[in-house]
Amino acid sequence: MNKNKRIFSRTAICAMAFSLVFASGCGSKTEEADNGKITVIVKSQDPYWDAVKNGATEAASELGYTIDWQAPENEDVAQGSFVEDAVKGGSKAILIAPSVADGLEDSFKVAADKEIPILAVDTDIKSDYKLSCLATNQDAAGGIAARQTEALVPEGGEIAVMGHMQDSPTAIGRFGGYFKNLPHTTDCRIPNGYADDNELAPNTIKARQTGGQPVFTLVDVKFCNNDADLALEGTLELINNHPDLKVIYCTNQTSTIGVGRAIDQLGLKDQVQVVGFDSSDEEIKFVKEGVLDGIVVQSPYNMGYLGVRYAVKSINDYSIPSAIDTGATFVTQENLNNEEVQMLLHPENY
Amino acid sequence: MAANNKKENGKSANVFLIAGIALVVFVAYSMFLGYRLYTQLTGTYNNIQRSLVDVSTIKDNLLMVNRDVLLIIADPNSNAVDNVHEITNCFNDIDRCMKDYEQVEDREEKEFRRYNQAKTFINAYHKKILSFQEMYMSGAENSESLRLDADRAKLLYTQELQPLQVTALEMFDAAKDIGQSNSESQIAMVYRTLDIFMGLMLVALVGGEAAIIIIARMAKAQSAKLDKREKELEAFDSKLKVSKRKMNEMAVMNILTGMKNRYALDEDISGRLETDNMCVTLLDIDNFRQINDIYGYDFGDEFLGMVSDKLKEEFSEHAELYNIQGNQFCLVFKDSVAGSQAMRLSEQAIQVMNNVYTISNIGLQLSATGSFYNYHARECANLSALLVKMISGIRQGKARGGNVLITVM
Repeated sequence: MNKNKRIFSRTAICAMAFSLVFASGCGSKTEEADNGKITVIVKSQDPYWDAVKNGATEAASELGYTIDWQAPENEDVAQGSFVEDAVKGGSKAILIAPSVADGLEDSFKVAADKEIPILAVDTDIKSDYKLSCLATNQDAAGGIAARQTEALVPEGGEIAVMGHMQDSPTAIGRFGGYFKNLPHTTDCRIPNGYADDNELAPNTIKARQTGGQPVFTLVDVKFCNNDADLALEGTLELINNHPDLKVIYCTNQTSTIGVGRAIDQLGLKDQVQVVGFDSSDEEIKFVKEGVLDGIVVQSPYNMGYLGVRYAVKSINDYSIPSAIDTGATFVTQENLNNEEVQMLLHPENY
Repeated sequence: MAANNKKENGKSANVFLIAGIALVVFVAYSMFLGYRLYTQLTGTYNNIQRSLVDVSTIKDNLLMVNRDVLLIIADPNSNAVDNVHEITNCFNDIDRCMKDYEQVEDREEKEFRRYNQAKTFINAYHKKILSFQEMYMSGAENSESLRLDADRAKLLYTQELQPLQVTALEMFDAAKDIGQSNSESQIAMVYRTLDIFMGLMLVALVGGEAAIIIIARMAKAQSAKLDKREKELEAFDSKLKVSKRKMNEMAVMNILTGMKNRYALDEDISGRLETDNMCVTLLDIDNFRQINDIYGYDFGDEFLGMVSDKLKEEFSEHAELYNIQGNQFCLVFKDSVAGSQAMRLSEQAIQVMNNVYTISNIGLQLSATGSFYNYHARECANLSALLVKMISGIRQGKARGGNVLITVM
């Protein structure tokens, strides 16, 4: 009798206790799903790629994936082995920022044979196996810079270019996009492989000048081999050679920093307008000080974030566009504190 | 034993009471929990539906804005004003949906963060559209005076507007996905909780029912046991009553002769001595001791039995007969018998006793001496006083040689 009573009362108490526990847990979250890993291979290790990593990691976490992050020490390291390792490691998709224009096709084939989607981020690559590319359209980025240059210097004038690497596809793209959109004439030698096929015809120049519209003259193109000191030296040379220089257009972070330092040292921020790329702390400082008049900022965070989202879409057999322009924003002293600009510069705060 | 039974019954009743209360509490709690889960589920479904409608409307409007921008670029002179008006309406709609989306409570931080990013992109897109309109539309009435040519407008669209729109759409999708995934998790959790809870409820109810059945069976067995014990007690009580009656009878009856004894005589007439007149006769068999001495007590007893049977046979109709001691008999005549008749009957009784009685082929004849007392109320204080008088009469008769009836006064 007593035993039965004990069993009965214990059962009742346990039932109520369990139900209480489960009831109180109703609002709580379940464990996140583990759908597998996505390998992200980038070019090197710096804050830019860290932003890509943050975006990728957050998207992966939201979608129940993990990120297998592969960042070589520098751009000279071959990325093919990373791709093959990702395939061996059972990655569900591969995002890659190719550091070379070719040479990865065999590795891509290995992944494609296993039906692993490959998406390019930041930089496009020609491949039969790549499903999509999420990057700033360099041509478009150059166009943005050109339109803003026109707005900054409505009277036009001499313009020079500080490229980061002569054979860099990014430099070539940004150069081409810029001059395609900038009403200009050319008074210097254009490097091999660089397109400058939108030069204004003489009558158009006359018409524009008559109508008060700006006309720019490209007077020099220099390269700094991704070295800020060389960019600084090159800028001093440009200023020396072209005392009427109005604009210097820089094609990446290093060249922009080098040119900025030079203009700052020379105290020419009011005479020479500098339009550059990317958003390192030093560049932001120069923008605030007016040394740099505008920088074209990409969104590496969005590249990583959207890249993983589109990779998961392709894992789940959804069709995705072959190219997605993640956009670029022209950041100036005036709009630096705008919400959309701050979100690009510090996505972790939003 | 009875106390133990009572205690057991009390325990059974308590267990039933506790079981009943526990079940009531459990059912009430289950209803509360069920209601809570139902409310949660309904709320979650409503939130999902509301969010989906908002996101879907925002996306539709963004696509419509995109279409209108493309139409303006394609032909700014035909219907640009209408398109601009439609774009304004679309952004008003987007604003309304965003406000509605923000009103939904309990959004996960991740979802809200992503929503805010999407919102920032939409605002940037809107700002860019306004600047585009300013640049492109200011000279719409006269295509020759357009500040931007169509090719440049297309570039502006593809390079600056479209990426913002695509990113905003994707971020909104992401916010929706997070919210939906979170809601689905919540719904799955609620369903899982319901499943487990239903299982627990089933176990508890089945367990409770089983416990009640077990307890009921035990109580039934206990009750049957009690009934049995009650019946046994009743039987015992009945036997006790019979024994008691027999003992009472034995107390007032002479077992040997089947006649009432001296105690019975005391009970019967003591109360009457104060109030009633009555005729009483005491009879004593003469020389009875010799019978015992010669033939033994068994024989004597047999003889007394036969004499008393004969007396009962002859005089029961007229008097109450008592065997007050061994060979002494007392007759208390009924009120209907007159004094003279009583005396005559007493004499007859002496004669009856004087008959020959045959026991084991031995014929025995013993005389008897009697004393007759026509008693009047209050003559004796008690039975002993009455008997003293009558025994005195017996002694007188015996002194005369017996076989005589002496009247005492």
